Amino acid sequence: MTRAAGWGRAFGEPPWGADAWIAYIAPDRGLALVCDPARNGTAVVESPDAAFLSRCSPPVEPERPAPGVGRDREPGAPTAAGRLRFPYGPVTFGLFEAGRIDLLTPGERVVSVRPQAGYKHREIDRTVVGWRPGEALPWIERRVGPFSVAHADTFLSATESAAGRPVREQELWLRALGAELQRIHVHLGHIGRSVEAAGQPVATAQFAALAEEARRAMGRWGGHRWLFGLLDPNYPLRRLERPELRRLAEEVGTIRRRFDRLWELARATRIYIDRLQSTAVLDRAAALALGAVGPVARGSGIGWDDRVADPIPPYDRLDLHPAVESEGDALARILVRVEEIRQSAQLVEQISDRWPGPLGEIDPRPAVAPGRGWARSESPAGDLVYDVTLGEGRITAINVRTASAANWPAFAHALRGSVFTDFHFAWESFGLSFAETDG
Amino acid sequence: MGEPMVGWIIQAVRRGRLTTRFPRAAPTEEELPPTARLPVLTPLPSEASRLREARCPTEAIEGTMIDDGRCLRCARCLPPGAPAQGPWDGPEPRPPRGPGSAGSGNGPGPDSVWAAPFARSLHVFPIDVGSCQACNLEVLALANPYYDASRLGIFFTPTPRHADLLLVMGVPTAAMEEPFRRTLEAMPTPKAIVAVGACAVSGGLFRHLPGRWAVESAPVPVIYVPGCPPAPVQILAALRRAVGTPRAEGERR
Repeated sequence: MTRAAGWGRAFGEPPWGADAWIAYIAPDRGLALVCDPARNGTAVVESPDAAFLSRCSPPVEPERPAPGVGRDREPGAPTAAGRLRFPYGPVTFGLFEAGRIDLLTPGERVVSVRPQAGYKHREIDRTVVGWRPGEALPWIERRVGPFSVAHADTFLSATESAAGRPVREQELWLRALGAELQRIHVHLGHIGRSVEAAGQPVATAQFAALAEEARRAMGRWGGHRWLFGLLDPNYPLRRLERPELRRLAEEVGTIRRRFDRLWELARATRIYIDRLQSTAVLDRAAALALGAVGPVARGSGIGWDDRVADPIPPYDRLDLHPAVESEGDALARILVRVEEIRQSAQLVEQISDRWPGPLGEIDPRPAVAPGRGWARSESPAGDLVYDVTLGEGRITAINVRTASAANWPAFAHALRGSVFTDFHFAWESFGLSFAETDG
Repeated sequence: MGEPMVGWIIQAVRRGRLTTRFPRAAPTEEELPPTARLPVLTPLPSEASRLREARCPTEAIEGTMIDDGRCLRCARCLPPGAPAQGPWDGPEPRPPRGPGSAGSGNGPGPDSVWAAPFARSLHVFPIDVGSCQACNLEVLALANPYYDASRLGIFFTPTPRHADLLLVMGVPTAAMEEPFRRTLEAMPTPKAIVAVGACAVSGGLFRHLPGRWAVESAPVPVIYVPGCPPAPVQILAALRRAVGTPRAEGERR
């Protein structure tokens, strides 16, 4: 593990040694969050010019379609080149989500991967327009249930930056606590389902039980198994004062100890590890070129973690080192998740030790001034960016760049050349979500 | 380093039995948390009552009545700092609005959605038509040792062609209406639907999508499991109701 050295705390310093940094938040309109020290900071810009793009991290090379692909009239039909376009989804038990991934194959090896998102488009970004920020939370949280706190947190930070409203210390700590609990739960799920893909029913059941225990801990203390409503100022079911926090931290500690025992066994299970090792390799250069974020980037040796590199409070006061692995295969990404479960359990401990005090009652309808603001935070899947415009206290527009959306090109690139049966190991190690992508 | 199969078995035995006693016994507080139950509203003066109605993100409240199918159990209608227990254990919930189908889980009607009682194991195909993934994972939780649906003869099947029941999660989006219809067609008759979660039951927060009627207007019996998301025991109870198993103690109508 290496400590990320030399990165500025303030947003405004580009990662990975590039001159500038860019995250598209609405690619169809060319809208991007751009950080450019030459222009003194960060801003949301429309259609960044070619000169700027050339100073960002290595240029993205567009994927060239394999021969024959363009001539497919229908998925499932044999192509001119004697290859089959296999549509995986949108209705399939394996993905357990509505989305489609077209795999082009001459038989077993996958030669081209084309994710087709859009099946779960619920028009959230449009629906929240016209609501007050606090009232829009139910929609924001339900963009993707397992990361609800990360989305609500980033959205609220963006509105606060738009309205120039200071946030109470307690609220910030509450957000960090919720985000870490969900990170533990999400990573447990991915690890458990990758074990399942290796055909280990006893191990699968043990990991699934642990995920259930995490959901119950969230339900008992956060008031909801998926922490929906946790960041709502006056959510009545939250039970998070000092004594309860202590018990929550103890429960998380128990989950962590149980997880360590399970991982000790999983690590020694060759059938499992062999399936992960050298599967769906994403090397560092490709990860940079394709703009991978989160555990995917960290599995490829890029030590970027928003909680360290660009922390929103209280992460600037918490002790954390990003988990980094250099191999870039499915095992590396799973190992990053393993390490992050341990770190998040440790962060919950730190947060409960330094809890700033009772939440008290919060004004549910604070006065908000018109303006535009953005925020980013490290969701369980990686860097998440919200750009919110407020007018007269109500939302007039939001743009979101999710970690899942950012990682699709890297997933397609890494899966190419694998065989069909590698799919689920790649899928769980990348941890992509159609719900998050589609919104 | 040999295969730690023995290690896994020892680990599983050491954890002991985790499985719920439901449906032999009523679900515990842990299995049926407050957020899985309907809140009970107290009468308020008209002005305050209107404010409370306006706070509901799914417009599920009318006076002190709550539309079970739409309610997210988000607790926004409760006063700040309201106690977590007590008022949540409510009377019989109101059936979901709209054209109710025969055998709706919450209304009167036959218990089994099939003409004759279901005598064999039940095979279920889950389909996501536009959910936030919370319902998906709660359905998946039925396979974990805490709920273990297979002990009740309930199994997931990877293809709709082998399924007795279609478990629908989420609100049907524009792109998923057609796949949903074709999946239903692919199932052998007789067939039925279990709509899991507020989105599938009533459209929930996404009532504006035209696809919200797709589940309700499907030409097969529908059992509704409201909640956002419902607790796994509630999904389990609905599956048992679908096959006409007698109600367990404490199981809600």
